[in-house]
Amino acid sequence: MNEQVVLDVKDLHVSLPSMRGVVGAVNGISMQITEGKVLGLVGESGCGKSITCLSLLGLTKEEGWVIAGVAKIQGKNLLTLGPEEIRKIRGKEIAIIMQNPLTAFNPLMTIEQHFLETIGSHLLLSKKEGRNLAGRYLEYTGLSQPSKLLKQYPFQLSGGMIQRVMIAIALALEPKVLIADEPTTSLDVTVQRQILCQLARLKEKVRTGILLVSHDLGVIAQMADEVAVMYCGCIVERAPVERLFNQPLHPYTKALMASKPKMQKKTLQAIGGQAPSLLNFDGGCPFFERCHEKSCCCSHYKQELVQYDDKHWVGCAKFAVKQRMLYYEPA
Amino acid sequence: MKTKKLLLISVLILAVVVSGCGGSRSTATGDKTEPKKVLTISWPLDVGPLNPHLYRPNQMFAQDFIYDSLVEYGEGGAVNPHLAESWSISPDGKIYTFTLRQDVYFSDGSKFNAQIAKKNFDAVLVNRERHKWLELVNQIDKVNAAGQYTLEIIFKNPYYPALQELSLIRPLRFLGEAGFPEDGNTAEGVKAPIGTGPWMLSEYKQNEYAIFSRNPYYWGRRPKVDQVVVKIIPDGETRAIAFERGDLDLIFGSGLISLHSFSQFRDSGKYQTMISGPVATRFLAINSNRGPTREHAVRVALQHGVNKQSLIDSIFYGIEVKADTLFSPQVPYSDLGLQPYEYDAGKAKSILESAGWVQTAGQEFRQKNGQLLELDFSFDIADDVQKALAEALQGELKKIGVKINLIGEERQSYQQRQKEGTFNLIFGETWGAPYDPHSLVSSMRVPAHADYQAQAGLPMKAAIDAKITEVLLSTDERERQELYRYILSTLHEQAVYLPISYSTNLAVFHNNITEVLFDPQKFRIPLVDVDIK
Amino acid sequence: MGRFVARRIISLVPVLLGISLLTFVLIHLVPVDPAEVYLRLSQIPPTDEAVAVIRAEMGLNKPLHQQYFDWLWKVVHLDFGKSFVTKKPVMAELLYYFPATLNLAAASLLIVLLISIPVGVFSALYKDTAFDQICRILAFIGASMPSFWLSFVLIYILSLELNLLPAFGRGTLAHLVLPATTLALGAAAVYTRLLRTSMLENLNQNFVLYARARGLKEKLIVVRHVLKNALIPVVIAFGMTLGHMLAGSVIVENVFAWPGVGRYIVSSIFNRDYPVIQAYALFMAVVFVLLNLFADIICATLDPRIRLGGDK
Repeated sequence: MNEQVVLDVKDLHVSLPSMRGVVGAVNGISMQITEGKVLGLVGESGCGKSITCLSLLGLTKEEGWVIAGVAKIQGKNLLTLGPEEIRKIRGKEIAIIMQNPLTAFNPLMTIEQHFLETIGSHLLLSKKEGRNLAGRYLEYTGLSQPSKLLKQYPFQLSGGMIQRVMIAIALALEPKVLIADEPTTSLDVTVQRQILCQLARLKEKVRTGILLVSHDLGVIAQMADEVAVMYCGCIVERAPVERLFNQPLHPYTKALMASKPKMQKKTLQAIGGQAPSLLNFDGGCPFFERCHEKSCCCSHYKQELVQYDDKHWVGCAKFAVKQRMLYYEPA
Repeated sequence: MKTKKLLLISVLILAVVVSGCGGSRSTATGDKTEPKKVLTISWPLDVGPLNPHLYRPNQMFAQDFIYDSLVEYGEGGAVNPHLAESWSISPDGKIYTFTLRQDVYFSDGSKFNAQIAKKNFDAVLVNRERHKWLELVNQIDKVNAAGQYTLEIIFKNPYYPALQELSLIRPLRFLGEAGFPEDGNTAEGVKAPIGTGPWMLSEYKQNEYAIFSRNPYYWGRRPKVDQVVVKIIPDGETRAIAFERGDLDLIFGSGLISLHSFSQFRDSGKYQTMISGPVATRFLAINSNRGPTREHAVRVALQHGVNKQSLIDSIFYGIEVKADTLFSPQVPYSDLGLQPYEYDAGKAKSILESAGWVQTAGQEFRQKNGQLLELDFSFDIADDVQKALAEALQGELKKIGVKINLIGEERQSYQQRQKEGTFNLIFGETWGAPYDPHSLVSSMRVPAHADYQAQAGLPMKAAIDAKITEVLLSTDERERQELYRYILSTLHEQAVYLPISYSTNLAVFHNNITEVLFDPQKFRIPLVDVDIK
Repeated sequence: MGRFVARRIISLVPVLLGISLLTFVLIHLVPVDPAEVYLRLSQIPPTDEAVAVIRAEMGLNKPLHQQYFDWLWKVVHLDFGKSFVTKKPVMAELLYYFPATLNLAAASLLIVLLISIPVGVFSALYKDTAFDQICRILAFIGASMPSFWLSFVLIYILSLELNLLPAFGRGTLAHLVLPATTLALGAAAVYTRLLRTSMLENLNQNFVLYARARGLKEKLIVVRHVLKNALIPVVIAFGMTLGHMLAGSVIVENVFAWPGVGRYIVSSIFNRDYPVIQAYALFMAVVFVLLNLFADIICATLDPRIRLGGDK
């Protein structure tokens, strides 16, 4: 296959030492973003999806986050780059679109100013050339009258329009990777569909690899080529999209699928129990407490993705056939 | 972007406004050939329009610089010639004839004579209402120019203090012809401050400074310095610092710097300091017509119960002089050998006891027939000195068992209280030279004055008032002495006044300034003889 | 923008009318008869006849609303009558003293800006470092120093001991330094903290994260994104402070013998010089209102949400 891996993440750990211990937000995840393909990252709120995105670009807000692992792009490890080097990559090689797009824009600046400053931080273009570039990409995202739009302020645009502007800004510099963090969460359904279609089309045009983060299975189903399911900072299953939806292996994945609202049923099926604390995560099965399918060897299981099938990986004790049985020997 | 431009413009505007301050101070006009001797003093208020016939906001010292009087007030009340060389008084005391000097010119070169003198008097007499406070003006009937240098003043009644009062800084001094407005009525203003005095106004910036230069036509002793610069500095502490820095050569006058600053200057040894003789008396009026102070014994006890020297040392830094009589012996007619009420707390207490004001054990204050020995002490709350004195006195009098209610009020209410007599103790001050003793004594007859109210309870009040009227009309010096003896001794014996201290005038100057002297009139700043080495 | 300004100016008219009414009424609420005050200040004994004459002259016997309209008519023509004390036209006197106060206020404002912007910005960027802590302590000291104390400390050290600057008066740029600094330090302390808080609030905003995510240089983010937004509450506050400074920083003007409006109005108040007090109250109210308008206009220039009317 002539598809290149543009971003290769291996064993990413993101933790925050605190007085009570170490909080493990991301506990050893690995994934690959391929050129022109969408990797969907799905999981419930708080599972570590956003932190993953932010830590890849060095954008974690508070002090004290410890980031370990390797995230290779163009041969460089993102996690060990200096501030100026990573600045050059942000926006140019790896672009991000965020949820709540309205708050992401500076209310005092026009759309054009946002565009020009992004372009100006990476490319050497004249104002006119920059404006042309901006106008072009705004059209690609399906926005009409781009010249008028450029002069407007963020608060004058609707949620859908602003999201498209964000996409336009992200793609105008033709990044290798686009991280889309819950891009449609704040939009209503009809607009959501439009945005996703736009994104799909642009993906083809610009050949970016997309990391699509969402807790909405519908969005994932529509857009992703491959899906990784995340829970408590670990990836518990990874498979091509049809596979995952038709044949989920991990009990958490199965529970997620089951909790989708169905037209026939009147009540929602929730996943019982609560997510465990991330404090001093010991590397065992994160879903242990809430799992309906657990067995005795699960308590000794160490979380690890194991290949079940061609392209289908799962991290569950049930499928970790070869290992762990060793633990069963009475000491 | 737009915002940048706006910010830039705002900054520029600011810069322009900021720099708009330069250039307001211009150097004095005049010849730049020789180095000038310039004496720099300061004053808290602007000098005013320099109208010789009016009051506030004209400042007296400045009016005195520019305008001369007919006669001058000397030590002990002596009257000396000034613009008038000599004079004679008719036997009935109603006509004063003055022979004027023939060598006097105004600062614009015009001549001073009886015509212009009369014009000045007439301008003042036209506005009698405004000058009603000055008995002299009330008594003048009319003024004639009997010859080119002969001026006649005709009085309604004989008024012996006329000569003293003619030495006043205002309103009876002389403006040159060119300074009069078209209709001759100076009440509306003057066209230019043209006088016969040693100084003339050469430069003026309202509320910042006023520069006085030597009057080239001055008839008297030529001033030793070329210019006097008066800088307007409202704050006393700033004035003290300016003096220390050398921005000022001389501080002359009372109330210009705090007594604390003055005592520091005096003690530092780096400067020259001078304290004048008694200027005016600071006293308390005791109400003989109200409450416990109706009793003579109580009033006498109060006289003995106050340690004046300690008050003066603590509040006045020992700069004022203890006063034992209402007028200091230097004041005309006041050298009477009156017996002072010495400080003697024991004596005060026994007097009160004998009068029936007893202090039973455990009680702070004395009582008589169920009535507390309680006195209302009224003072002006805006006056720091009065406040300090009142509080100190409250403490002093508590020691002899007298309760003092301090009533500190705003000026209007304080004045109201004086008029109505609703006080037991109230502050007062004599007016100083040349008004003492006749002006204060004269005002004792006026019911709207605190003095009248305080004396109203005296059995001989009517007699006192009659004698006061007599003395003002008297044409016989010996008769006047007898009348004053009666008036002042009676008041002293009746103990209606508690004299505290004699206020003084102050001067501080650098070591290179010489010939600084005080004038009997408190508000004059005589600079003719002052020199800079 | 033009429409915005026009709208705001038109809305000033009822405000000004209200102020004029209030000023007029307040003066007439004073228990003392202004005619009597006038006579006393002119040292004319306030006999009943004299008072009656002056009352007629001042039109005090006319019905109150008539007096108001007469007064308002004169005010619109900038005739505020004559001072009881100096007998000069009040407007002329106010205009004579105002430039000095304006001068002082402008210089103070400049000093406030020069101190509070850098210190506020760096305190926010280097939050909780030694620099930040020291600045915080200095700000508290600066805000609590009474101006009369501070003015004398500055005069004593810089003028008397070191002889670097003049102690009083107005003239050269050097004369402006001490009074403007005294006036500025208290305000600078407050604005430093205000700006710091504002900056910190803005540094936490989502758009800063997004700006970083787009790879913008940190300096650009601080200046263009954070500072510009942070300045808005500061600008609004400046309008008020400048108004106070213009009202005449009385203490500073007294201590430094600065010939401004503050000194003038205080002596007028002590003298109960009513025409001056009235004119001053109205004048200052107008100045405040105009300054507020100016601050609003600047904010509208900076923040498009204000001038384009919120969300669509």
